[in-house]
Amino acid sequence: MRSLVLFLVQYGGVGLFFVLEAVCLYLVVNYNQQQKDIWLNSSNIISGSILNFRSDISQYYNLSEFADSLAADNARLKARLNNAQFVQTILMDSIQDVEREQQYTYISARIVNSTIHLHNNTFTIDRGRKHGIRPHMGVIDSNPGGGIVGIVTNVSENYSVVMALLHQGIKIPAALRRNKYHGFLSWQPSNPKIINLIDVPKHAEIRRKDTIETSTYSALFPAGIPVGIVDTFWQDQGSNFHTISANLINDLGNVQYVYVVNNLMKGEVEKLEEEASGE
Amino acid sequence: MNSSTIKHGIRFVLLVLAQILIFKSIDLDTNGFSYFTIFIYPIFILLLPIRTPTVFVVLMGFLIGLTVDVFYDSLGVHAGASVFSAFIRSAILNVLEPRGGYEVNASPTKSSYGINFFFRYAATFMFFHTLVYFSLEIFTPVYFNEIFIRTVFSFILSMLFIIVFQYLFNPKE
Repeated sequence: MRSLVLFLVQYGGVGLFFVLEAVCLYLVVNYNQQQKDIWLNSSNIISGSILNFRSDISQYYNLSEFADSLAADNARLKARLNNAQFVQTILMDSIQDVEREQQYTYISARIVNSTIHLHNNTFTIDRGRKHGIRPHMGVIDSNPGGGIVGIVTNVSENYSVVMALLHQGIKIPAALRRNKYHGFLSWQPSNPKIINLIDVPKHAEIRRKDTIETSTYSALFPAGIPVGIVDTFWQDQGSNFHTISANLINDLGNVQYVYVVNNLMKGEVEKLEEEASGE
Repeated sequence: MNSSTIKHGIRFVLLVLAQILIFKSIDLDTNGFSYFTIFIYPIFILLLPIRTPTVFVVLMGFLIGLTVDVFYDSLGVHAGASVFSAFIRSAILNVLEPRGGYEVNASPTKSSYGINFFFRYAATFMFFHTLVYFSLEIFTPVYFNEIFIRTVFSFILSMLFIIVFQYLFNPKE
């Protein structure tokens, strides 16, 4: 008991100091109008900013959900653009009867796995058969500037594998925007930012900075999506074609959201072409 | 109850009376804004014997501050400042300790350790006392300028009276 008293006398100062300071603060705030007002006011400011901080954080955690819903919205809107419609306009006499039919719809998807530094690169996306994805569908970037990503090769219930543009097996029809000369996109395993456009006719006039876009020949992609910007071009010896080296418009290293293109008329075209070649 | 305790008790009462009867009415009130408050009652805490345990000093600080508060109608403001300055008193004394150490029953007075010592001791003590006092009174860092100006004015005037007190009464303990 005596040692307890001694202990308190020796070291109780700090404790007593804090207790009495707290008591004083309590008295100040409760018995002085001016300080009371300031106290209430600033505690509101503090609690308000804490609440704000909390909602900021929860918003951050809801961000991916939010982005998903935006991507779905975008897919719906994209399907209403002109290049997603098949124009059924028939010119008869001078009466123009404009009629459009839905040709492309879009399924938004998120990339869950990707490679860009291999010789044959692929992406995995979190949409599959259940969501309407089938092999040989085109995949485009969600980037508003354009850019395509690849072609669906394998589909499971919930996921799909996409053969990336950076894959040696890729061969996608594309054209120069300025004069509509066609070629095929093809990739050499060298630089994930550069794509080649091969088999461009020898007489095509090519300029640096020309835009390469998806062509109307492709059943996988809507026409007119920018793919790359012409950097250099050359003619291989003894060849009748130009090869163009172009910088990709999108960076495949950081793509997050993509749209899978569903061409509603692809079956019809394929069937017809099959019939024609069978004859 | 020895004579020293009685002496300090009487000093407590007289200082509080002086504070609330004389110094409370001295202020240059301009448009309801007083630039300074003269603190005389902290002399009680200042002159408590050096070996007084911090617990006791803090408790005394609280008591005298609260007593003054009752008359100033500012419950907790003087008490808060006094508790703070009482708490740091031992730290100030430690820093200012003379080479030979303090004598056993001495008080930190001008007569025991000289005016030089007392001035530094009282100045440090009073600076924190006034600073905490005005921080509690104004209660918002928004008016930092006001806190600063009033701290400086009050500090100078209070120090003047505290030194005068030392020369006037020259207390031994």
